[in-house]
Amino acid sequence: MARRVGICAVAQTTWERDKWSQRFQGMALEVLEDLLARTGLTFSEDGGIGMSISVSDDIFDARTISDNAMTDVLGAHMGCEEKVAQEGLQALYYGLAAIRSGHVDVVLVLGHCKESQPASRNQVTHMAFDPFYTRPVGLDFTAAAGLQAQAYAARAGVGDRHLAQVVVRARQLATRNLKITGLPVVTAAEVLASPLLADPLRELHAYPVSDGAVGLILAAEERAREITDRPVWIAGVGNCMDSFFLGDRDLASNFPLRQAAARAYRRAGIDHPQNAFDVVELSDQYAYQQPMWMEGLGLVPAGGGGAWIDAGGPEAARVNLSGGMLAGNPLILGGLVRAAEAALQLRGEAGDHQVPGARRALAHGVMGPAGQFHTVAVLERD
Amino acid sequence: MELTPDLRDCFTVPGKLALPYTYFAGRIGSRFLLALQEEHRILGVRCAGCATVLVPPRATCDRCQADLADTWVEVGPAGRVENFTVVRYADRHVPEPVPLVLALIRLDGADTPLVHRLGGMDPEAVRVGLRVTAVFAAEPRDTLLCIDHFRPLAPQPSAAGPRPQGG
Amino acid sequence: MGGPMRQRLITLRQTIAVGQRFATGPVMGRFLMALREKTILAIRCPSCGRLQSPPREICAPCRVRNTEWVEVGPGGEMRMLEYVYYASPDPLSGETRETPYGAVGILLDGCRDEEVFWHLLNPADLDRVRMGIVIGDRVTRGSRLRPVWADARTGSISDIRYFELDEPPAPA
Repeated sequence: MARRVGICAVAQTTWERDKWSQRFQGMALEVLEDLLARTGLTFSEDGGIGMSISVSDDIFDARTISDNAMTDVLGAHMGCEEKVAQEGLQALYYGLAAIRSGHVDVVLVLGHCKESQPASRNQVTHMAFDPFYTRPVGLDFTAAAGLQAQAYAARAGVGDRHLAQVVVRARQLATRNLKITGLPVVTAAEVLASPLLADPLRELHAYPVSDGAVGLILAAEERAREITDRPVWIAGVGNCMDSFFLGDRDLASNFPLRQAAARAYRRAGIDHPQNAFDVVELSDQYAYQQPMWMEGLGLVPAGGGGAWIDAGGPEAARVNLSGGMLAGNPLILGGLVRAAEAALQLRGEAGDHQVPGARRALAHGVMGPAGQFHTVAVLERD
Repeated sequence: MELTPDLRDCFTVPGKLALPYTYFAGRIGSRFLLALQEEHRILGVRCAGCATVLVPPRATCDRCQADLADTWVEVGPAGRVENFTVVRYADRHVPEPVPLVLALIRLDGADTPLVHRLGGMDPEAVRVGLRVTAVFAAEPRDTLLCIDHFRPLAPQPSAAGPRPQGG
Repeated sequence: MGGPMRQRLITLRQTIAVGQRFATGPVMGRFLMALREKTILAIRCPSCGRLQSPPREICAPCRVRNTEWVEVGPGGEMRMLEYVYYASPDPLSGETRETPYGAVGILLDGCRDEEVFWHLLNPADLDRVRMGIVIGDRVTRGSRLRPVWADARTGSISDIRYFELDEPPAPA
């Protein structure tokens, strides 16, 4: 039997619209020092942290292989360092694999991003498209999400009013998350009146621009129990990558998420996901994605997103009590912050948004235009 | 001197990430673009494995891993709007004018819709199911913009009507 | 529609560009603001005592925050010359600088061993400088260099235009 891997500690900076006074190295260092203080760990091949996994986006950082510019603040000097440029939850998977292989016992995962640095987030995600066919027509992740939202909303009975409810709730919850600063609460009327970006997406439906860093310590079971009395076990992870061209996909079908979830559930030994989770943290970059991803995860009946919101589903299913992506985390870190928030819940450290006695949680991450690549992680405590 | 982290020491500097590239369209991409440029014909490829006609064409079917070289079929120039959004923000990378209608257009004879812009009509009047046809650029271009845009096949009323999406 | 294999192939020249607003943070910021006052600062590791300039938040080998600011230079001894015939495009502008140019590693006054500071050499001095080399007890002194400051300084590494030779010309 492969050895279990536990999350031993979680740290994050505040998530702010514009950390103008900090370099990305400074944000990462803040998280590293917090993690070392919480665990008492040092970097060493003999019982200490044996590997650093960073998460960063070269174009947001404006550096090629930007992790090479921060090995010192990753504790990676003369050590092993690996970068995840895919969505951040994938770093949890890398760490799981490294520990399960037996090569290392303790791994640092540390992601950062300053979305305030480039002139616009859309200009950066535009670069994800190919230069001959899809860049010339102006695609970026917002426009791609508009296409997906249009296709999904009709199929799931999700309207402007539902989307406003999702945003209002996220902003309310964000006030209870001490790591979210400077994000005003909004009314449904304000959401409904906010300008359209890419129909049916409105400005307030989009995850706010944010800067910050997040980190986790992962360890093999026996080491995890030495480091903390409340390890959070990674019970199963699943991924799925869909086609690159939007026209090759059925944008409303949730196909890749259903695959990723099925893989994660099978690996975690979950037969009936509907009632399996005390907490769900999903990456809702745009409001329509909260009901849509819930359908894809099999936690809401397919096509039932609108009815689920009407019935108070998000509260009942304890979805994104942290505020979720709609409270503002950078694109590349969405899933990693979800895992961090889920781990805080299972450790009983979620503060004002703690679910009493939470035992099992789901964390979800997504990257690429219109949800091309999904990662689902199932986390549990003893 | 002591280290005293101080906001007065912090400032920001305007800069740029700028890199010159030479992108290569490849054999299949070049053939597709030249047919658009020189013959005003739209080509796709047909996978023998899954019988799917893919546009834009590519070398390999990502479902079957089949080699798609020299499986050319002609598609369009007319097609059907399968889905669309109206991009209402201006930015460096967004072609003018905005609002810009980006649509997934399934060309006649193709299975995979192509993302392109719609013109020649009121953005508020776009509907799923609308029949459209390619309008080729007057001057040769080295990208999909050899097709400048798609326009409705039939004359469209200019007044805005109810939107197709819920709520 | 197979046809012969000979065909035109299409390439597309494009400069991708995204505007950026870079933050200095407190450590880099303090160093850059000092350049405006024609001062070069280094930062000292409290554990091993080494100096870094430009300064970093921490000392990588010791994994501790640097704590003490020290003024160094502004003159020093040339330890290394990279005589460069090929220039990569500047990622900040997409432009390519003139070649050949000299990148120099300078042991600024107050620094020792590997604590070299990198900058550009006055192109006119490219063929007039010599490197300092230490092999065991054998020490060859490198050329003395001094910074040439820009008239309008903004808190940027370019506030030093380049370093130039600070020695009487060698006899012909």
